[in-house]
Amino acid sequence: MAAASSTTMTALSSALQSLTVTLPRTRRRTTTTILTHIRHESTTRRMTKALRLHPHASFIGTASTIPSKSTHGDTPPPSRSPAAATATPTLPTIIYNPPSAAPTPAITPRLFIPPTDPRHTPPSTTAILKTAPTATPPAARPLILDAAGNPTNRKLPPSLTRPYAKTYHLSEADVKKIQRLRASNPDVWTRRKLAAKFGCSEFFVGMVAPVTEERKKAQWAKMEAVKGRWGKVRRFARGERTRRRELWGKDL
Amino acid sequence: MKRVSQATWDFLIVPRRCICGNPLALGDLLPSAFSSTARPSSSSSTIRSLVRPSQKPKARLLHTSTPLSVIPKAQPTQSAKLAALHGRLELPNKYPLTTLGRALIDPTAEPQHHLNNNSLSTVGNVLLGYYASEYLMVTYPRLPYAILKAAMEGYIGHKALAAVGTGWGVEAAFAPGTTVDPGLLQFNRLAPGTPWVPPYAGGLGFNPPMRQRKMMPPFEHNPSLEKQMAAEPEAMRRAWAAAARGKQDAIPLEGAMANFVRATVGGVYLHAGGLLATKEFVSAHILSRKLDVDKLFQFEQPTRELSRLCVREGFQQPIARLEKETGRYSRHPVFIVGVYSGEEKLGEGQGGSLPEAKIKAAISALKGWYLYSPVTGVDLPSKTDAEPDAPFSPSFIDVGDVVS
Repeated sequence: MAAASSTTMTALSSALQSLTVTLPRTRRRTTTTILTHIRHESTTRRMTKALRLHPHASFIGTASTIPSKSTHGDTPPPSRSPAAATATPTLPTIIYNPPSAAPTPAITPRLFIPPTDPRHTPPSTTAILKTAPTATPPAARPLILDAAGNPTNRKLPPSLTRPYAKTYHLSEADVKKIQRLRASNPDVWTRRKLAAKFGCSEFFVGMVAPVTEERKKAQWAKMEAVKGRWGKVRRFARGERTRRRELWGKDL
Repeated sequence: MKRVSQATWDFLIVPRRCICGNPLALGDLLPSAFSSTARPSSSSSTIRSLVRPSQKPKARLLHTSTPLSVIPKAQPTQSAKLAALHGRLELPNKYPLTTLGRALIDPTAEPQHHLNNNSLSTVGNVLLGYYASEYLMVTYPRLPYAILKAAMEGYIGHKALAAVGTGWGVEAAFAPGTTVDPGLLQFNRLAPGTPWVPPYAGGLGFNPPMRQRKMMPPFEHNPSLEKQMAAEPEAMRRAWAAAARGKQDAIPLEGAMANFVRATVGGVYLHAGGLLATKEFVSAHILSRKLDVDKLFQFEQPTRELSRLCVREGFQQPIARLEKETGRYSRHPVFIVGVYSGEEKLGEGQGGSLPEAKIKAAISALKGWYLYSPVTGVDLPSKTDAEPDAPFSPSFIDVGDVVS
């Protein structure tokens, strides 16, 4: 073994000598092409460093993050005694690290678990309606409360629309007035106009003061006439949009 | 190897008495049953008391006014297919081959009710409905009624049962007749294009015309589809009327196969040990199939429904909150919206637009409500069928659907 290594060493030193002799000539001949392929030590180190990613938190402490024995040749061979086997820390062998995915409906939200279920934990007190809803609208981005009920410095995500509270401010006389106005001239007193005037929703106006069947039919006919003027492309696009909207409800 | 003695088959060959009360003659059912085979003397007394030659002509007058078209020359006990099916289903020896053979004869092939599987499939359908409904109600106590019916259809509807029967390796005869192997499914085939209303649809599944109207995509430029839609209601109405009168003289393969599976379950109840054996058989063959109950939902106004649910249960009004977004001004934005009641998150949805994500989040929350399932260990009501004194923990009972 020692003889073989000494012969390789001599062969290597002779090769190095020849290299040092021939190096200046080759460098002089093809300067630009060779220089583009030279990889300096610093570049390799930087690249290795750049490629070295930290393991995910769930992998730390597992077998894949422990340095392997091949990189450290000086480590003693593992002893076969039972005491030593128990002394080595047992590493977790099953890593549960699922990819990020949409939440599944199989996991019931905490608020929806009935108190009779053994998995029940008391939900946040902010989710339970203790009194009748007040006229003040809830905050758009409330602070998250801690366990004791004190606000923390974290906030809930912003709401899509400004939260509002139902005011129930219309009296019977107001409703009668809405009905009278709508019946007097539905062309002028549309749902939108009445809703703006009385500070309620268009849905509420449509609920308390519906128009007559004749007017509904006339409005439908008007809309059909407009649809009749649609071209092929628009009609197809509108149909597709309706279909896609229906598919939202199926949530496939 | 599992073997069934000849004497057992002869003894359990047919019900002794017809449903209408007339005594049955064995010769009616199996014309060649006793002509060639020599039987041991132990069973001959029973057979003789059943056959009674003096009553034979009278019985023929009563029951066989039309010549028996289906009852084959070969005995069911001689069919290799039937014996193989019996063994494949791991039916006990108590389950006679003749009953399995009778389960393969559809009412459209043989109208006489003591020769076809009509009564067996009725029994089987009731038992299947019992076990499937109790399983679904205990597993998902908050399912809305429409979804519960759809899930029942998914487990014991004729399409599902036909798949079960096909999985058992049952094949259909081209047409019913005396030369057909008793191990083949015999029924009168429905002509292609003829509407057909499945039996037992009253308690199961949706109204087909309703489903047609709801599920048909609104394509307005398909003349063939329009023609089909225009033609459908009249034909379907006639099919419904025929089904209501019980005058369906032909059936598609799916329906006949489903009837066979129902009849097999009925036979298990009658011969193989009653309710306990039936429960094991149904859970092994029917309820062990996978059904994605969360895919059966279709919501029309999910946000309103969730709002009504929160009012009913005394929760804070749900508020949709934008959790993450990317590419708002690009061609393919993605929004992730969570719906919150107070600080409690109820559901999360993602979509290419804010309304879509909001609707998906409301649907996710509603599915979380409807698909609540108690922890395992809740007992099915049928637990007390076998042992009435067994300890029983009742399941969760919900107040009902959300009315919005």
